[in-house]
Amino acid sequence: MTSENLALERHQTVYKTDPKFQLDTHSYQTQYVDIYFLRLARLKRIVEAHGRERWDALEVHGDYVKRVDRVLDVRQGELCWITGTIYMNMPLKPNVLEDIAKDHFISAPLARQKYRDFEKDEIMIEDESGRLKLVGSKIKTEDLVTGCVVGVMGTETASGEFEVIDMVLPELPEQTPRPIPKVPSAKKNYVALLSGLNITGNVHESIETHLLVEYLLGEAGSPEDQAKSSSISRLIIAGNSLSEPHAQATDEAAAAASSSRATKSKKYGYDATSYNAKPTTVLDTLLADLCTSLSVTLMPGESDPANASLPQQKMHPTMFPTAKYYTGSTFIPSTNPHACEIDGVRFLGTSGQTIDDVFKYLDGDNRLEMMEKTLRWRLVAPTAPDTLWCYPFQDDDQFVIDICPHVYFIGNQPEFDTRLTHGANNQEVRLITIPKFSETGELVLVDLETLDCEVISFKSKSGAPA
Amino acid sequence: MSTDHSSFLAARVLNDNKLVTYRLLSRELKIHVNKAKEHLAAFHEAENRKRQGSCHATYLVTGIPKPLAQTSRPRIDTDDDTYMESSPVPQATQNEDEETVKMSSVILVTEEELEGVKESLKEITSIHIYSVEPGPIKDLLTISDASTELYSRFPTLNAAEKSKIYGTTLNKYAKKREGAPPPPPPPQPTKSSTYVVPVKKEPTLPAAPAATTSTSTSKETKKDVKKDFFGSIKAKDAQKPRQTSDSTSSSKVKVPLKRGQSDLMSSFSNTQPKKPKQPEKKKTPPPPDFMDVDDDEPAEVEPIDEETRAAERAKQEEIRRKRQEDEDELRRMMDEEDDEPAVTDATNSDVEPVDSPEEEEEEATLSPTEEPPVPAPSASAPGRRKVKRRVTKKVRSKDADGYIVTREVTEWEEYSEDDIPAPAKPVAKPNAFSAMKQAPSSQKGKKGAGEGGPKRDIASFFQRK
Repeated sequence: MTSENLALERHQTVYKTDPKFQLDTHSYQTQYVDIYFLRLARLKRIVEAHGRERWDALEVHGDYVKRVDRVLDVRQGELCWITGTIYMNMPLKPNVLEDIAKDHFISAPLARQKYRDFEKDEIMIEDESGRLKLVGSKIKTEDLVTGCVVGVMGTETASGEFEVIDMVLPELPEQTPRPIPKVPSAKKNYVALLSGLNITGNVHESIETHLLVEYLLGEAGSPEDQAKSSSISRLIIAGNSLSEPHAQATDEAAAAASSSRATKSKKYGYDATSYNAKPTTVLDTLLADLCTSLSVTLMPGESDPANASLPQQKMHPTMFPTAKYYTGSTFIPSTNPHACEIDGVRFLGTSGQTIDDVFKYLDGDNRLEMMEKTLRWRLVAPTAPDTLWCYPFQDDDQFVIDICPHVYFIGNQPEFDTRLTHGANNQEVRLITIPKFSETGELVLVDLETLDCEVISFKSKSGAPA
Repeated sequence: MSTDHSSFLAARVLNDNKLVTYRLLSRELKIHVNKAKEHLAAFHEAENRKRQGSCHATYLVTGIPKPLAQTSRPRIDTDDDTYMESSPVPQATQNEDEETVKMSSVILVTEEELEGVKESLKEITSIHIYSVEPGPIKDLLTISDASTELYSRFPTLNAAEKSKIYGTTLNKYAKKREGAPPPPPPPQPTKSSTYVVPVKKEPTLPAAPAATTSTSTSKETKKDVKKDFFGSIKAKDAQKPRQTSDSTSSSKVKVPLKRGQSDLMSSFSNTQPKKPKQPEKKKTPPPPDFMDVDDDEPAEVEPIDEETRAAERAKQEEIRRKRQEDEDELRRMMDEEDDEPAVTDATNSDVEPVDSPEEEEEEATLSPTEEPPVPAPSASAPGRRKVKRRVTKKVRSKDADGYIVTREVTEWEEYSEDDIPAPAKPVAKPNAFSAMKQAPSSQKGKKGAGEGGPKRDIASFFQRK
């Protein structure tokens, strides 16, 4: 019985939140068209620079490739290049007018996995002057989504379509160099990433969640484990900490309907008695426990009680009656696309809606690829006003990525995956898809020094057959 | 010491048939978690030596899983359709990077499965006992139950204490703010701070007079806040377990005891100053600290005698206004000195006594004398003063398209000072929820005023007597 109380101390890091995604006003009076305009205004210059680099003095059959300023100024048969915003006209995409029409049908069709339909989709490029349909085998194989700004080179065909020969993207933005110590320090320095706790509060909270908390607090495991846990300086929870609220509501509705239809009192509007505070209180106690030892950044997600449109704003502190007392020190509620700097390492991430939506446009399952694409488009949420709810920005499109992050993470993805991607100007970005903790029990650790990833999975195994 | 923990474990596991996790033991006995693990292991061994199978354990295994499980991680395919890769060549970098990902596992496992789990790991970092229970457990949810119990029973200590006693990793920079509301960075949510402040202050306010000093040190108030803060949140959950904890280990449990005391104190001090003021009321008005509670009451009006009711209302109105002023003041201070909770605490205790009992008493004596709540003096007759006031009413109507439209209409309404100042209330706080409830009552008021004559005369007749 040795009692060496070696008090482990939490590794500290400097944390700077980028207030970029914070909204000061909540006016939804304006049109969304401004976003596209602002986006094009910001990215056109960059795309044109790339276009010039690539196509200037390019000679095809004795013709020089010319830059055309406006989409509608393209002359037929002339080899030229233009920049504009892509618009995908997809019959499978949700459509408000169609939705209204569907109200008259008995059952709504199922939500689609993918919108892409190679036969029927039309890809168009538009700028402030107008729209031009893009055709050609090159554009067909290219992964594009509505809202990304590109430059295309080609000619207009007799039918008035633009045959694409080549294309440029904005590519990765500039990256500030990461502070890399000359000598690798002995002590590791991790940032933990987590998403999809999906706390229900309905039955018992899953034991894995408790194991996670105990591990992060440095109580579980051997002294070595505890030492490792103490080198985790912060935890970023990327959304969906609380599970979808409707599951319980429908349960209750069913129970109420079956048990006593007659005694059910008539209530209009919101029924306060059906409110279940359990999930938030459970989350609150867990957070409060964690905050005594670990800095926690809490991002709202799709199922969390925050505004539905991106950028989702911080969850209101009143929901965390105990954890909120750590705001200012270790409890950091944040916005949904969240950008911050931890010891000079720039993080950018979302709770998953952005990539989930891009996923519907693009072929395949490779989410890291899609993440890389969004970086190359320089847009966090390229599909934002089209198929992803977002705030109608007036002054600036906040989803444009100005500074290349070092770590780019997306929460609530089907599984963990990671890789590095490199830009033309020595940018190096660690892409990470964070799995849902409620399904996989996995916590991702990022080494701030090397940007290497580690995964810790929390499991339980009971002897008796389930 | 050894008798201490083994007797506790024996009582809980063998007698109560309960499960004990290392965390629970460490909280219960105020010992380091690693020590608690040792105790659990020793207990488990000792009991099983005495009688085989009398005690069952779960273990927490950490380690590195065997590589085959991770290199060929099965791709989760959630949808039925398969999408063909358009570009058959995946990035070369992808594969080489994936190898660098270190996997490790933290597995909670029952006694029976321990060997199996050990085999599934390539390298075992550690194995320690997680919990001890009377028999094999079917469902690990019972453990999670025990973990939840932990939160409801033991107060959250501050970071330094927690790491000293239980061995939680210390974070020097984790500071729990005392009393101060969360910083309101966006301008709108300031509303939240108005809600938070009175609730938080509630226990300290009565405590201050009890301690006979307005110079109660900030430390003292802080302590109170913390205790009651905990108590107020967990009041429901904690009720039962607290009893057991007191009975089982009453000798050295310091914190729960203290907490219980403060609960008692605050509950007394909460009710006591109220009682002498409204002895004739059956339905005690809501405590002044909860602002939004009183919105609910205008719906049901019991026919008690008019005068006391009028007085009551006027008084409440007065109190509310006072409080509003105080709060504005407070909020201003908070905004200025948001970062220094200690200072705000001090100022709070200065400000708060304004609506202390004596003050309210004074108002109570004052209020029966006429004081029109929202006076807009115009057209005053010599004998009986006729006063006009502005009333905001909700008018609900169906428009051309068949939608129900609710509009707020302000209009001038004549009333006499002898009148019941009933409709004064709705003006106070038009919030969406209360507005719905107020709609009928304000309409009632309007009707009474419109019909004029007899009703009013009768009321005034009674009042003069």
